[in-house]
Amino acid sequence: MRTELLLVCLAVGVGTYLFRYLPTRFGATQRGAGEEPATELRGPLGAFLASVGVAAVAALLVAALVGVLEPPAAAAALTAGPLGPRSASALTAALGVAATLGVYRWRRDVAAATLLGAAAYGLAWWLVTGVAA
Amino acid sequence: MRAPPTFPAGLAASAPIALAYFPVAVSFGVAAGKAGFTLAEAAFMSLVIYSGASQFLALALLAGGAAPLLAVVSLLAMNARHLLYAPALLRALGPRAATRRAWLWAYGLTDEVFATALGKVAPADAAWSERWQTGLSLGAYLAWASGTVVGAALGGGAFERFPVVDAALGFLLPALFLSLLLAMYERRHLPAVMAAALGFLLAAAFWGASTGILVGMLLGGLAGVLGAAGEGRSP
Repeated sequence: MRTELLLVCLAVGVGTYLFRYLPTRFGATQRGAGEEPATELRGPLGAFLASVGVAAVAALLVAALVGVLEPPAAAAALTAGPLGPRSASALTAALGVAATLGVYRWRRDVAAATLLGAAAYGLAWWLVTGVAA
Repeated sequence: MRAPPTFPAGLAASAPIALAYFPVAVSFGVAAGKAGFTLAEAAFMSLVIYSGASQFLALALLAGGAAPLLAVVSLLAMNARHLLYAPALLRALGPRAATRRAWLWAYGLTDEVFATALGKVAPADAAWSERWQTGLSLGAYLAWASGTVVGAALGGGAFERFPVVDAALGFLLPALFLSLLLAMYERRHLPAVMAAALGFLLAAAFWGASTGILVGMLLGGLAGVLGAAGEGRSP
């Protein structure tokens, strides 16, 4: 295992564990009676942290979509189809996105939407490129 | 109040989380394999970090060659929300709260475990125990770890002879991030999401994907601060 990877994982793992555990040690239960438990931090730092997770997922989504639109490995197979590689990968990605959106709206379930979205993409890829499984 | 729930009851209660975690962990393992990480490295990440979305971010940053310290700070910023889960759970428990074994069950206090535990203890007469909480945490953890191993084994090129399956595996990540975004999204997140997407596209064009993700996160967080300030001013 690479040392750098090992150290990054350990630092993040220990930090995340402390985020989860330490509040149980330090007066976590001594808040005013009748007060709703806070589920979000307050103030500018709280607003930043509340948005940073959803922002990271949005950035990762755009990165992953760009990756699917420019796939070096699939490009050779895609040129075999009747469409050019660019329109073929855009069409298959659009179908995959539409299927994921549709399943999520229907089931409200991340795992089902992910798996059926990927399956729909595979099917679309097969139809567009004509490469058999 | 009913008898305190047992460790096996906690394990059983983790089944819905485990069913949701397993396929997502498989996608993580596949993504790690495709990004050039070994099975041991992928399993290590899942066992030690054990935080879904931030592990995908770790893959993108480490595979993209981001500076390690920058990666650690970004990943911890993404996980800082976990600070609130134990206090919120203990507060909801009130007199039923116990923390003697918190060092053990708090390790598994993920978004979904927290939400499930909070739902379980919401009725004031619902019993809770640290054993039950440990079972809930462990079931989810095992599903995440085993899914990662299965995915990393598949992602190492096991499906190269089946191009359609390989293509479908390649779309697991966009589908996962889209579903996660839909699950997290509220109207107030719109500025953060737009800023993150634009920030990524601009920065990635010049400096590559991992810098693009960091810039997107940062701009998204700042947009969230500006949005919250704007809400505070309006009546």
